[in-house]
Amino acid sequence: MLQGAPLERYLARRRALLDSIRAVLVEDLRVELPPEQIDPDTPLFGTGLALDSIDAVDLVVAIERRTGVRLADDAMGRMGLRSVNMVVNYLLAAQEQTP
Amino acid sequence: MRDLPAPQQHRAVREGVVLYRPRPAMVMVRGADAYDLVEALCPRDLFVRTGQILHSVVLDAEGGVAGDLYVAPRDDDFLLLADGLDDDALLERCREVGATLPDVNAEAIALGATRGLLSLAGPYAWELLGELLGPEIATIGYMTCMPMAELGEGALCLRTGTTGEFGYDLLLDREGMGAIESRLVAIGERFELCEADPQVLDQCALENGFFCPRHRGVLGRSPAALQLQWRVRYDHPRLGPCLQSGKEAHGRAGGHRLCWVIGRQDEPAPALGPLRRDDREIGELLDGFISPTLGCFVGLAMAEPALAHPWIDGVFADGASGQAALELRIEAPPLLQNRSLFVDPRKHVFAYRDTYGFWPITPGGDAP
Repeated sequence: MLQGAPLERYLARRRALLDSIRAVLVEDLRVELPPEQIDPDTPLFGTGLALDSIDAVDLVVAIERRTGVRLADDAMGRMGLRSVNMVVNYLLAAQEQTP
Repeated sequence: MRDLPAPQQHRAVREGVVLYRPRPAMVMVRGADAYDLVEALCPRDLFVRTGQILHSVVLDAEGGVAGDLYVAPRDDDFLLLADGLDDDALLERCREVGATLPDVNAEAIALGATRGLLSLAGPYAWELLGELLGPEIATIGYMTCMPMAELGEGALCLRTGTTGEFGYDLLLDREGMGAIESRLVAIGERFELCEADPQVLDQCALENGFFCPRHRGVLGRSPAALQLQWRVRYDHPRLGPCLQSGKEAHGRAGGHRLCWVIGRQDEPAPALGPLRRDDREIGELLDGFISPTLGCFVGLAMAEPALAHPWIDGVFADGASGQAALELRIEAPPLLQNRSLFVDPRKHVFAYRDTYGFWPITPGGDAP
């Protein structure tokens, strides 16, 4: 179970990535919501922020520019783009695999 | 049509196609000021044109969420579908907001007595509906709608759904519904079509992170608490002050936030009630069920925002009937990998579904 300092480190990394993704959405994709109004489990495509396929390309490019992580063009990458929190999950998993 | 137990209905939603009959409030708003009335009712910017569907919420007088709201313009009129309300309640809400507008020339007309919905959900829903209406049905985008004159005057096909799978609602004249259902059922034999209980659809919505007004403990909470802030604007001319005060009250109360939890494989469902971590109460388990698809408990909870993050484990709920506490873990929805993400109408058909190497529906399974 995550506790103490490891829990605090995990939550800090998660919050930092959440802020990064919100910044990408507002500054790069021009989502017309203040960052604090983009809830973590907000869907990105279809409903929710209603991004489209062109936005998806911009989103992947902007995330790579800000975090250094490229979302793979495969099923895992596609599932990683389903909500703000799913992007954060993907980035955290990718960072853990990076030596 | 097959009448199956709930676990098999779940499987049909996730791997095939099901038929069901949702009963949201249905109202048409007409008149020269229809836009103004709907704008006053809908707490989101009304940037939507004929053919599109705007997804928002119905708010109560305190700014709490009272229902799910679809707004579909039809030329100068507006079709409103509100899950969680009946026609009378939605008409009353229209009257209340209409009273705040000076000399509004708009009329809200209940449709429920003359119109009904027949709905399909599942990764092959598009194929079954295509057999009835033609293959172009597969090209309808999510949250859009189109008239279906062949199904009767004023008939409409709406591509919506809250299961994460392909979903279609047919808005039909009640007089012709039986005949159309019979045609769907006849075609549906080739698709092993079954009827799904409303509770199964609501459980599928929970697995996928969709708001559902029938989920226990969600109604009346603020959009901020329910993670639905994308459906509102706090500077809305009429609803903004009430939304803003609801958001501030939510913050003052500690701001617990909705999150999703899962249990361990094959463990029983815990009791609804307090959630603890490190021997401290951190929130409340609101609703949940043993998911036949995932093989574990999945639930909705309100939790302290500092801890309401995915992958937080060591969260305990009481066991049912005084049994030992059960450990849960917070997860981000959708909790499964919807087959509809991978089914491509240009490549796949129901008849050969077992021959395709799709990704597993349960996360963590082997990739194809």
